[in-house]
Amino acid sequence: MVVWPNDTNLAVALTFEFDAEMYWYGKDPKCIKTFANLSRGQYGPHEGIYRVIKMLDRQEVKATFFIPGWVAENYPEQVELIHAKGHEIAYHGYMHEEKRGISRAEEEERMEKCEKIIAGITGKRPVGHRGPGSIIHPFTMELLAERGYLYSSNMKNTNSPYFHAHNGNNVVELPVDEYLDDATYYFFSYSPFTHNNIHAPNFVNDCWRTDFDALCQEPGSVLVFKCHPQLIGRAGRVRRFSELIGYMKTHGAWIAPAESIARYVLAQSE
Amino acid sequence: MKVVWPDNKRIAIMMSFDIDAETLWYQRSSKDDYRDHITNISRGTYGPQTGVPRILKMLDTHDIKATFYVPGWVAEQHTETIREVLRRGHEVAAHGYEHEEKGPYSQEEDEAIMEKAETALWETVGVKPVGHRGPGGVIGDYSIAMFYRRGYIYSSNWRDSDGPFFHKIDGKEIPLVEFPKDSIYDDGFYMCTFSEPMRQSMKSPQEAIEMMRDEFDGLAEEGGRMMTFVFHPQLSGHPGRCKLLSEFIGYMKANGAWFARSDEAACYLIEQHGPFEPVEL
Repeated sequence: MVVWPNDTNLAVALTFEFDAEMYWYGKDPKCIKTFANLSRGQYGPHEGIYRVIKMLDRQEVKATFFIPGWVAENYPEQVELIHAKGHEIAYHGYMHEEKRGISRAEEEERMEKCEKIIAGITGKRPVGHRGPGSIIHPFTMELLAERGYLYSSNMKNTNSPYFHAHNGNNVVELPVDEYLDDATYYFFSYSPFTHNNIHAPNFVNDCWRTDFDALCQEPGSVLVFKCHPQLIGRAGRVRRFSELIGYMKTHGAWIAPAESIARYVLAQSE
Repeated sequence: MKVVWPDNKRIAIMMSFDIDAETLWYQRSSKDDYRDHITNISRGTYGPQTGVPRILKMLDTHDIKATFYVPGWVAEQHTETIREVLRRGHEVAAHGYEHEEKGPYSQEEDEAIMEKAETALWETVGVKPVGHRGPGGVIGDYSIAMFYRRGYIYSSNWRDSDGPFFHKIDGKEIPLVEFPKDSIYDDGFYMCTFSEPMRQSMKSPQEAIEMMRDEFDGLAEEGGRMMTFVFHPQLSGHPGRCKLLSEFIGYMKANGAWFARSDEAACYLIEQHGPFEPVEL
């Protein structure tokens, strides 16, 4: 069991999936043909991302951005800004692909392509992985170990970090949770896979703060927020999220990029 | 039926948890072959792996015992978890084999599922269940007679009253108690899931507890009533939910609740009833 640094109670990773239009493409290619959805996707790079970055600056915290390769190619200014501000950039597919049953070769090719794109911006290959739409494949962990990834942030089976071991390589798992995903509260569309429910940010804070408070009582836990600039980037939502970040800081949270948390976990285990 | 609970308590509370684990995902997906959706299946695994230990610890804090409805397959796949549930003094009751809920079933089909479910519970953890909750609430005309014949003393399937009541065959009461439930006591209602299985409603832990507490207050005032729940460790076992559930239990304890395992409550009612008229199956 990990003991977090500097007398903190809980490691907290603020992660953002900067998907832009690709958020909709991965779900059903027809969705992307609906102007409304396309436009909603663009709210991220046009508006939401700037608000999120400003808020993180104000709170003086560093975050992790999972960015599809296509988004990095098409919104270079925004992605460079994320990097310039000192946040981590990690793997999230090329066009936010959510198809299951692909071959190992296909995934490997995609990883190679996207790792190069990210390295072109940050100067190094990503060390973290999150499958778009929560999709990973039976060989994903093996690939991560082979390709020198430090962590995966995909599984939903627990609240504390653990290891995926392959041939002597340890990939840290920083588990996630549907209820710490802003899409559960803010995702809205009239398109086929309808989810017609928008919640108030205070309501969301009630849910998230309660989980935070409870996990502070369980040593060695980790809390990974999974947000989307096109969703949480609305003015009211970012503001409330900022308040929650303030609350967590006051209550013993160690807020750090996923990479830092994973490195710490690995170091503690050695 | 006018009930007087032990120690003149105002209301009987039967904490109940359905450990559906991965079966919830296998059964409820609208897509074919969901068994290879690694991360969604892990959400099911959360139940026995993380949710159940948290819930057991929480129940110990309050020193109360609960009923865990366990599909036979789950007892096979997560045997150690179910053993721990029993070790801590809780009850294990029947809940299908693989959480079969695509009914209606013929009596033969349903009986076969029950046989498979009971065998699995017996062979893995040595339990012969005396309580039954149908996965997805699938019940047929033959069900009451079937439960009675198979030695069940209670069922938690009906939704038509606040209970408790005795089931009847040919108009005569039999020693088979019903502990009704419904969505208002089901955490699936309170927790939306974005991906499969899709649910639209979502309540904060605070709002969910407020709604159930209102029910508790109303029923406690009526006297001789009960509440049972459909909590899933993969949902209510999440940290914030479990924390508020713990606070709710504290509230109920302070306001006249008699906490009991469902089999305990059924035995109490059967004893209170006195002799039953013989019934022909």
